[in-house]
Amino acid sequence: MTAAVSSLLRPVPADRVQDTASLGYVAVVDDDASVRRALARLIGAYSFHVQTYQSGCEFLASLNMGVPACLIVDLQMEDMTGLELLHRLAGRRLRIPAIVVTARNEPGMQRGCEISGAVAFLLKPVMRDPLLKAIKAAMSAPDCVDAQAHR
Amino acid sequence: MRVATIGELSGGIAHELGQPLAAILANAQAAQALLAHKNHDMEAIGEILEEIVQEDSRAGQVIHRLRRLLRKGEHQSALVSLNDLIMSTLRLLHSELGNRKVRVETELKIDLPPISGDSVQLQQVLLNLMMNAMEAMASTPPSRRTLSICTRTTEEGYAEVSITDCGPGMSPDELGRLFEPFFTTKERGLGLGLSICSTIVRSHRGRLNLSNASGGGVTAIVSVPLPLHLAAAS
Repeated sequence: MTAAVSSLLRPVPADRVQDTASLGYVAVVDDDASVRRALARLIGAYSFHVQTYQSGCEFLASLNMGVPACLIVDLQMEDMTGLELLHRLAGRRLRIPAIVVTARNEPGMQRGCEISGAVAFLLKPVMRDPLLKAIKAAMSAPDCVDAQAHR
Repeated sequence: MRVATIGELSGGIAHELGQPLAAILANAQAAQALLAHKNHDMEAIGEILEEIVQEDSRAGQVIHRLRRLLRKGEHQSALVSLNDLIMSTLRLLHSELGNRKVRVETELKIDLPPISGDSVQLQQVLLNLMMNAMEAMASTPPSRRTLSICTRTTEEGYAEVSITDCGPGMSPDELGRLFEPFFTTKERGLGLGLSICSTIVRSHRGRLNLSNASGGGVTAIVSVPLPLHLAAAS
């Protein structure tokens, strides 16, 4: 499956639209198709540009084409876990603000993710407000500038 | 061990249940956003509802699988001494009790007749209830953290285990919802422990009840029928 810009929703009325295009896009990496679609719908409904990827590998491959302003990644994935993906990004010296989501909060996991560069750690199911807050914070993080400059 | 500990089981299914729940929530909140923005795109909203229905049934299937798993042991019954089971469960929890500075008081009926059941499953129930009781005392001063365990027989021919903590007790609302799947008062709980316990106890033709104890805290009572000839003798 190739990455696709979320076109699930029609644009919201013009007076509601924030100028999010200049902020870049949000990448969602989750190996569960339903969760991926649902998150893209939710984030898209708040006028953010979203691209979805079914694996860490697919996401890494997409970086030749562009770098997102913010990455939302599930920890528990079959081929490459979310934490491995963060390590790979660090290895490439790519500092994309990452929001980690997981249904299973094991002791020390949050700390491990933060050390690996996660800016937020959210438990699934993720509520809208903490998620939007984390996305906005991630997109205004200084790291974001690095990521944009990297393009 | 045929049945993994409820903790392990809960952890393993946390992800499996977490996925559909995550999808349901994000879909529902996306629909709310569409409506709030006066974007009445009926096609998009229809798609969202369809996915919510599908994901809900996916979550339901996880629960059905779990129930089937727990019912497998129904035929594996043998005579079980509840007193012995309590003592071996306390041994399993020895270090946990020490870490949490919880004292144990037992009042076990000496000639408690054995019951017919699955010792592995029944131990899971005791383990879960004792863990809940310990966790309920997290904010109790260490000097007052006592876990009381009693066994007795009732006139109706049941063997009864009661497990009482010295925690803050529960509100009527919480007590009423304890057996709802996913209802939890714990920050990180999945809310399945008591519904699993209740399933196990019912498969032994027994009952599990929780109520506030007279001295504060909560008492959990497991009642399992005694085999008929033993009930008459006790």
